[in-house]
Amino acid sequence: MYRKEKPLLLKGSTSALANNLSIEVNLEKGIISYATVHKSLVNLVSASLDGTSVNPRQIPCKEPSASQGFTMILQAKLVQMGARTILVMTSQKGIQMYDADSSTMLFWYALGDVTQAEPQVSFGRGICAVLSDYICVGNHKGEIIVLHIPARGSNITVSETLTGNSAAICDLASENEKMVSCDDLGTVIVWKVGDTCQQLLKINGPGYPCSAVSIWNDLIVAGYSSGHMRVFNASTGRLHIEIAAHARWITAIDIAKKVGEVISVAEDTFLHIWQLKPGPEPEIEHKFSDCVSDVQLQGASFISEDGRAFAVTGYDNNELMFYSVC
Amino acid sequence: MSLKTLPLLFINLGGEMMYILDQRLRAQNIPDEKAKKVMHDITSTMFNTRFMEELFKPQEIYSKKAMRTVFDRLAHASIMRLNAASMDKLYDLMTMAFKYQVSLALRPRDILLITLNHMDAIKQFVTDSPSIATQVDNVYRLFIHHYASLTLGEFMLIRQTLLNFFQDLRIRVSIFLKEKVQTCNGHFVLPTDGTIPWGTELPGAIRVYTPTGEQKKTMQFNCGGKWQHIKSEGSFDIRGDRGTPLGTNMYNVARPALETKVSGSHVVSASTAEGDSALAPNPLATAQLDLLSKLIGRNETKQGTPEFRLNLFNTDEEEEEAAIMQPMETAQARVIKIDASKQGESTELSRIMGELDVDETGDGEDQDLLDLMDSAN
Repeated sequence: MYRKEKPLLLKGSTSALANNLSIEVNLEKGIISYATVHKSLVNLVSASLDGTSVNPRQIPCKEPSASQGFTMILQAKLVQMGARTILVMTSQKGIQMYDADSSTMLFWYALGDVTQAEPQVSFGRGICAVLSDYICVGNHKGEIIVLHIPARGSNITVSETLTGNSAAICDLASENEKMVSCDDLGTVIVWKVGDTCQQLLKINGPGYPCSAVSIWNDLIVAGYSSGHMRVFNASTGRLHIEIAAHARWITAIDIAKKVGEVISVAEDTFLHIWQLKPGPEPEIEHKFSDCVSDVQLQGASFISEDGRAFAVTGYDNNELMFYSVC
Repeated sequence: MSLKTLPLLFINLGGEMMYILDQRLRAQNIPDEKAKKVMHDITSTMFNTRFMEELFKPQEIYSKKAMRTVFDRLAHASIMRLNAASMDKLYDLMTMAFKYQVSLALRPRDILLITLNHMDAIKQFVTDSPSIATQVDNVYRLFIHHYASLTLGEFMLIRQTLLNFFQDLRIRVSIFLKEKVQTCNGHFVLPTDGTIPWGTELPGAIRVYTPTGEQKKTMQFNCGGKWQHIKSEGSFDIRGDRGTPLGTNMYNVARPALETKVSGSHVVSASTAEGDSALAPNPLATAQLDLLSKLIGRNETKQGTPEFRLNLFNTDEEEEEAAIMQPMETAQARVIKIDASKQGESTELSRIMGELDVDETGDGEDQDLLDLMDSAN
């Protein structure tokens, strides 16, 4: 099935944050980029497709002023926007975007109200690209900020702010113009994102945070803090499948979009690979599992959309662990 | 990140410190009266009402250096003195123990149960001082007031903030290694056959539903682990069974001296640039450190009992050896920047700083540890 490959050593260990691994493959340039959060900086690795050349970098979260102490990053994601790859990072201070090749900053959006006398918690969490024009980012209040990204240059503008989730956003995912958001109360909302945005559907949560979400073939796969995974129809909201998948908090879910393979990882040290079969009555089958001993897994992503290879990361561990079909 | 992490971090580290001091005080045959005074003085300083009020205000956690300084002060809030090597060892043990508890917590809310375990034990240490016991009870109320209504998501953020604080800290602790809960590279052993969090389902079932929401069929899959349900949720009341051993006193059984070993990975991680909080002291933390120092200062003025020195090692020779072997990094970490800037403002503070450098101020009684050991022989 799958075989564990030689790991890639990161410059710093992976922080305990859900969805803490982002992979972007640029076939034209022949580069695979990996991003993980380490405290207040992002470990960014660019490697050639065959893995012979590896270029690790660290991009710190920039501060609005030097006196504010250190900032914890909550998520980092690489998104393909036309010809360029953008690194989006969210912290307690705001949203930052960088050109992933040159590490130059493209955009800064401040979060939080500094006028309040008592410090208030604020953060961005949940990042996804929609079509090739928008990057959506969630925040602590449950809002989703829709940012318009030009084909080139740094004229990034706020297009709209979506309100619908009533607790902090955990994760965002998209398919074509559809975007799915999930939050700390387990609520899942389906949106249409474009020149005008619209809430299409709301699936009430079980009270447990929905920490990771993915969408494929109009099927939503959601992972919860209770260890459950649920498959919903993204047009009707109908619950098709429920899996008692993990013994701890699920931290990441990803789908290999060509073949419908799903990976789920959790803090119980297990990774599971599932085969999702689409259709009016979708089904799911357990294909593979592995235990990464003594590592609380925090991130998982397929490297190729055919599901032939994937990588996982874990807390306090500075390896990118690879698996490939054997 | 979460602005509600600091009280949990402080009380749990403090609780671990009390466990270790209690064990060492007994191991070194410190007279009961003196040992009790140490435990009482430290607890009453730790749970000082004004300090607790400040601590429970929403704020970022202290940097690692500031937190260490707080505990340097706290450990010296009584008649006991620790030299640098013993203080390092004490702090290493405290932090690794709490990192273990946070890492092994079944669900983020268990961190509150772990805290209550520590509170319960501290309360036991001060049962014969009603005024200090009242102080402890007030902090129970503060915890219930501030944490009872937090959502699972907020607790997760607290846990992530704590794990972030402890990230890359992989000191090997003999008690953990012996019990096989820590690997030789400093990571904790994560069992795959224990209990699952309260209120969750054993993994292994796949349920398929019909359009009307009825269960069409259920399949099983091999989830890999051998999990079982937990017997009780654990009580969040002032008194009750917390339902978890995490946070209870692991030194209760008679054990040989505690040992820490600095693993290679720890040394490496300490020297990497990590954009750590240690680089930028938080102005709020500075203010609170000042407050704590003043409180401790006030405490010390009323002391009349001669001081004694506590050793976290088996013998003085081992302690000296550890002091020599300390990496430069750790030695530098003892430079207390924050307080130095305030030296002119507080005479109490200056006095404490002066006292920190003094190893022994005994007045000729059998206060020295070597003397104690000789008399025991």
